[in-house]
Amino acid sequence: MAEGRSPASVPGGAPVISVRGVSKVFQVGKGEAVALQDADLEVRQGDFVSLIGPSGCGKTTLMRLIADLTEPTTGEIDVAGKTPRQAREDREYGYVFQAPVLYEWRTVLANVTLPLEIMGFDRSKRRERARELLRMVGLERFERSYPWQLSGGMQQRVSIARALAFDPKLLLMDEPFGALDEITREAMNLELLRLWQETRKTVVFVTHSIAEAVFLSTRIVVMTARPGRIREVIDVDLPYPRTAATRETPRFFELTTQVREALRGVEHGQGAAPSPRVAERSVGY
Amino acid sequence: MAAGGALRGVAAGRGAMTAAGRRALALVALTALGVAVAFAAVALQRGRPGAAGPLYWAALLGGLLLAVLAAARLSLQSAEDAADRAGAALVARLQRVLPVATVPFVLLLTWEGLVLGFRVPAGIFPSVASIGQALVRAWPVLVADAYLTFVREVLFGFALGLLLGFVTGTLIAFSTFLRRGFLPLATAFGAVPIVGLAPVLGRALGVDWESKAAVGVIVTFFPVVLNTVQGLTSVEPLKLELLRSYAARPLQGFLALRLPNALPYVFTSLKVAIVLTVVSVIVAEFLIPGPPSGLGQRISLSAHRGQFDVVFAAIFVSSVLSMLLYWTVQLLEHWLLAWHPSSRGG
Amino acid sequence: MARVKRALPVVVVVAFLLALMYPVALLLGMPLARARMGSVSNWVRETVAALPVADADAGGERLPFGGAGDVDERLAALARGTAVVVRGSEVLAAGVDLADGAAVLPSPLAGPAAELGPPLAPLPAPAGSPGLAGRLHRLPDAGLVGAPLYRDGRLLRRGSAPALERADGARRDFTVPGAGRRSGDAPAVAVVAGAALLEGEGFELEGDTLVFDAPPAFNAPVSLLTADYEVLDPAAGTVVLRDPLPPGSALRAARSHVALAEGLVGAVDGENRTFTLQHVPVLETDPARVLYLDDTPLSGAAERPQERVDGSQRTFTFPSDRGIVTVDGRELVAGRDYERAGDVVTFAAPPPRNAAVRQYPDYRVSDPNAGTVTLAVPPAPGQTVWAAAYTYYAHPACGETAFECFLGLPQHPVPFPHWVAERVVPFFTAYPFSDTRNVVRATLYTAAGTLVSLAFGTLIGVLLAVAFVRVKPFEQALLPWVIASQTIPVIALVPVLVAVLGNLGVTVQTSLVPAAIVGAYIAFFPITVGTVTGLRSVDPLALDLMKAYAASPLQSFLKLRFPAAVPYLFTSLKLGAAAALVGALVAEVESNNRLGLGYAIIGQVQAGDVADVWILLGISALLGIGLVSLVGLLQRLVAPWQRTGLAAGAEDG
Repeated sequence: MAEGRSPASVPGGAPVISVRGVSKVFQVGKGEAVALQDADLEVRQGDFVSLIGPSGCGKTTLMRLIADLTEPTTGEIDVAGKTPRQAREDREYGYVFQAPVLYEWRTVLANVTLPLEIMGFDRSKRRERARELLRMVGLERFERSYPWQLSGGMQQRVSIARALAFDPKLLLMDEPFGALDEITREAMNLELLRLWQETRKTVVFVTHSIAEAVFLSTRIVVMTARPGRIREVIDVDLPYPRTAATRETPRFFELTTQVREALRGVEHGQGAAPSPRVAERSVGY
Repeated sequence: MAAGGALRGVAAGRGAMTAAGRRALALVALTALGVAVAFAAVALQRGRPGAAGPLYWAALLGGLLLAVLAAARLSLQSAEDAADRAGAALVARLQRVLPVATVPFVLLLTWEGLVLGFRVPAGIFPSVASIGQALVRAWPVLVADAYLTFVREVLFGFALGLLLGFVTGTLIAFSTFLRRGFLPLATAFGAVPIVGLAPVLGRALGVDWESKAAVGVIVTFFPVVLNTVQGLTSVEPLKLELLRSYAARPLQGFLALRLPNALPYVFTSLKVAIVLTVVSVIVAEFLIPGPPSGLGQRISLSAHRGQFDVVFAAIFVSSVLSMLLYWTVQLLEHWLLAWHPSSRGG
Repeated sequence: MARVKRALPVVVVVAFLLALMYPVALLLGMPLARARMGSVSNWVRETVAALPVADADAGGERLPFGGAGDVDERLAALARGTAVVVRGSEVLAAGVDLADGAAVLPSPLAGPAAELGPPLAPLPAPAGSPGLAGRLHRLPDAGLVGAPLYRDGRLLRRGSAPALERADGARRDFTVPGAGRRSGDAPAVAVVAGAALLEGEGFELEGDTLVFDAPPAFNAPVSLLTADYEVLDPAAGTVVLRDPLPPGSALRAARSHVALAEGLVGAVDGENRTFTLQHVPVLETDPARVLYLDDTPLSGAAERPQERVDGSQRTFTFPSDRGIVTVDGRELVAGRDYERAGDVVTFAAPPPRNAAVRQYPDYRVSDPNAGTVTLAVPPAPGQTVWAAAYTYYAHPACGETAFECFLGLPQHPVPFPHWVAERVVPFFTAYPFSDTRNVVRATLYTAAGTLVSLAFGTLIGVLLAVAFVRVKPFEQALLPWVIASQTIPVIALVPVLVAVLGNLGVTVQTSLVPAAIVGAYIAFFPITVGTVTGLRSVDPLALDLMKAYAASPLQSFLKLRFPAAVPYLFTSLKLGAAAALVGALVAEVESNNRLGLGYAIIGQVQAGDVADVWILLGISALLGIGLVSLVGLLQRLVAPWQRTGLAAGAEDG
C-alpha cells in the first residue's frame, strides 16, 4: 500500500455499501424501542469505516442490517449492488462476531475450513487455503490444536482467518477485540491493519474504543443513542502504513479529541445530522 | 499383600525416605497386617467344626479394626507434612490407592467372618467362599445366561432404543408442534415403573427374550429422546448466526452444528440408559416368567430353590458386566468427545 | 384460549398414540388368530347328507330341492353334472343338471317324490313353558327318527348349532356363533339335554350369547335351533319345531323319499380309481361317511391282518379277499409289491417291524385335505360313485374370517383402547374399599411403603452426603464402591432379603419392611449424589463471606451449605421417588405381599384380561407421577425460593 493517502480517497471507488434512510424499530413489551433512526451511510471500495458510539446507539444493529441478520423497518440497503439478502446468499461478506464463536469439536484448521465446506469449495483446495490464512494470522503451528487450547486473542485471530477464508470483498467486524486486554488489543490492531493492507478488503468495524477507531479507520461514523442515529462522519487523514508510533502523533491526539467531542455532542467539521440531545447512556443494543 | 510388597520394593529403590513417607508405608503395612490377621482367623475357622470361640472374634474384629484405622489414619495424613517432593508424591499416591483398595477386603472379610462365626446356614446367607465355588461350578450356565441377558436383551434393546430415540428426538427438535405435544408425555411416560410395564410387554410380545429386550428399548428411548432434543436445540445463538452469514442450508447446519453440539447430551443419556437398561431387563426377567435362561431368571430360580450362593454368583457376574458396559460407553465418550470440557476434567 | 392452544399438541399426540394401538393390536393378534384358524381340530364339522326333495308331492321332470338359503348355496356350489338323484340307495338319475334349485331329470319321475307316514302326535307344552305349545311333537314310529319331516308336503330343514362352551353345572351363559344373526322376530329355541326351551321362558338371547335362568347340568349338550326343527330325543322320537304347527297342518315323516346326493368328481372310464369329494377337508375316519357305487354301499373300513408285523413276516391274512393294500399309508401295487391269493397277501419284501399294514376292501381316503378317495376297483362307464353322507371341516370354530377369530381370541397381546376404557369401571369397583383386593386400597398401601422407603433413603443419603463432604478421605475410599454397588440389580437381592427377614421373624407378606429397605437402597444413591453436589455448589465467595463473619463451621453449614443443597436434594428426591416406587413394587412381588399393588400386577402377567394389565400400567404410572408431584409440592412448601429443577416439558424457545 502506498504511503500517504488512505485508499478511501481513490477517486471512482464504487460504493460497496449504501444505506439510505434506514430505521429499525423493536417491539419491546407494550412499547417500541427505536434502535436506529434514519441512517444514511456510504462505504466505498477499500474503506475502513469504524462505527463508534455508546451502548444503544445502534451500531451493532446497523452491522446486522447490512449483514441481513435482521431486517430494516424502513429504508434501503445495498450491499455490493445487491439487497442484503442477496449479498448474504452470494457470500459477499465475512462476519466477525464479538466472541470467536469457534466450534469446540473442530480443530483450528477445521474451523477455518468450515465456511469453505459449507460453500462447496473443492476439497483439495480447502486445507491449502485454510493453511494460507492461518499463516497470514501467524497461527500456522496451531492448525491441529483445539480452540480451548488457545488464548482469547488467538481464538479471535482464528475467527478472522475464518472470515477471510472464502475471500469476501467485505469484512464486517463487531467489536472483535472487545474482550481482550488493551495490550493485546493494540497488537491485534496492527495485525488487522497489516491484513487489510495485504488483502485490500473493505472493512466496517464496530468499536467502543476511540483510540482503536482512530488508529484503524479511514473514516469514523460517530453515533448516538436514544434514538440510535448517525451524528457525524469524521475523515481520518493519518497516513498509512500506521505504526505504534502513529498513536503518539499530535494529529492522532487531535482526531481522538474530535471524536470524543463528537460523542459528547459538540459539532465539528463535516457533519451528518445533528442531534439535539446529548447522547445518553442506555442499556441495550 | 502383594501390593504391600511392591510398595516396599519401590520404597527401597528410592533410597533416602522422609519421615512422612516412612510413616505412610508403616500404615500400609499395618493395614495389610490387619487384613492378614482377619483373613487368617477366617481361614483357620473354616477347617474347625463347632461355634467360633472368643479368640476367633478377637482376631477377626481386631484385624479388621486395625486395617480400617490404619487406612483411615493414612488418608487423613496431610501430604504437606512431607519435607520433600518425593515423599509427598509417595504419600499422595498411597492415599489415592490404599483406602479404596482396603474397602472391599474389609467388607468381604466382615461378611465371611460373620457368616462363619455365627455358623449361618447356607440356605439363609451364603459365605463368600461358597459363592466363589458356585461361580466356578456354574460358570458355563452363567456364561450362557449372561449372553442371553446382556447381548440379546440388553445390547439389542439398548441399540434399538438409542436408534429410535435419536430419530424421534431429531424429529421432535425440528417441529414445534411435536415438541409441545411429545415432551410432556415423554416425562410422564418416564415415570412408569418397569413393574407396570413388564406385564404389558410380556403379554404383547410373549414370554421370550423379545419382551425383555422391549423393556430395554423403552427404558433407553425416553432419556435419549429428551437429551437429543435438548442437545439439538441448546445451540449458542451466535453459532447459528455464523451459519446464517454463510447462507448455509438447513441440512448443512444440522450436520455441522446441531449434531456435534448434541453429542455430549446424548452421551449423558447413554450412560444413564445403559445402567438403567441392565437393571430393567433383569427386573423384567423376574416378572415375565419364560424359559429358564437369562441372569434374572437364574437368580429368581436359584433364590426360590434356596441356592443363594448361585444367586450371589449371578449377581456378581451381572455387576461386573454392567460396569464393563458403563466403562465402554464412557470410553466411547472420551474418544468421541475429546474436545468437550467434561473429558478434560474441566 | 392460550392454555387450550398449549394443550392441543399433547392431545393430538395422545390421540395419535391411542389410534396407533389399533393397528398394533391387529398386527400382534392376527397371527395368533390365524394360527387358531389354521389348526383343523378347531374347526366346526358339518355333515353333508343327501338333500331330501323339498316338495313331497312333486313329480314330473323337475324336482325341487332348494328353498332355504344355505341349501341353495350348497346346490350352487355343486360341480356341474355331479348331482345324483336317488331314492334310498337306488340311483334314479346321475349327472343331473340343476336349475333354480331344482333337479332336471332326463325322464319323469316314477312314483311319488316322497311317501309320507302318519302325522306326528303333538305333545302338550310342559308346565312353566306355555310358549312351546304347538312346537313339540312325537314320531308315531321311532324307526323314522332320521327321516325328513314334511309339513303339508313341504320339507322342513333340521338344524342346530352347538354352544362353544361346556356346561359345568354352574355356567349360565353360552356362546353360539352366529346366533345373533337369526332373522325374524320368532323367539329362539334352545335345546338342552334333550329338552327344549323357548326364548323368554328359561333363557335370554343377547347377541350371540344365551343366558340361561338356571345353569344346565354338568356336561349337558347345549345348542340353539338354527333351522326348522331338531330332534330332541331319538329314543322317544320327539322333535321340536321352530314355529308352532298351525291348526290344520299336518306334520309327517317320510317313509321313503327322493333325495339329491353329491356325486364324487372323477372320470368314470373303467380305469380311473381316484375321485374327489366336493367339501374338503374331510375326516380321515368318519363314521358318518357312506359312499355308494350305484346302489352298492362301499366300505371304507381299514382291515388289519391277523399276523403280527415283526419285520420278517411276509404273508398276511385279511378278513376280505379284495381291496387296496397299504403299508404305512402308502398304496402298494398288486403283482409288483405283493401277490394276492384270496384273503392272503404275500409281500415281495417284508414290511418293516411294526409298520401299519392295512387292507381297504372298497376304498380309502388317500388325501383327507384334498378329499381324494381311491377306489379298489375302477368303476365301469355308466356307473355312478356318489356320497350319501360324509363329514367335513366346514369353518373354524372361532369364526369365518380371521378378524372374527381375532375378536374371539381368549387373550389378546394388545387390547383395543376402547376395551380398556370399558374395563376401567368394573376393575375399580370389583371389590369394596374395605377388601384388600380393592385396587385403590392396594395403591395407597404401595404409596405408603414408597414414602416410608423414601424417608429412610433420604436419611441415609443426606447423612452419607454430609459425611462425604466433611470427611474427604471417606468419600475417596467409599464413593467408587457406592457407585459400583448401584450396578447390582436390587431385585436380585430381594429374595435374599426376604429370606433373611423371614428368618428374623418378620412376616414379610404383610409387612412394609421389605419395601422400605429395598426402596431406600435404590433411592439413597441419587439422593446422596444430589446432596453432595448441592452442598458443594456453594459459591466460594459466599463461603469467604461466612468466614469474614467468623461463623462456626456448624453455622456455616446450616445457614449456607444446607439451604444451597436443598434444591438439589429435591431434584434428586424426585428421581429417588420414582426409583423407590419400583423398589417397593418389586419387594411386594417377591415377598408375596397381597396388600399392595405389586401383587395385583403380577397376577396379570400371564392370565387375566389384557385390558386389566394396561389399566394397572396406567395406575402405576399415575402413582409414579403422583409421588413426584408430591415431592414437588413439598419442595414448594419447604424451599419456595427455587424453581423446580426437573422440568415437566421443556420450554420451547
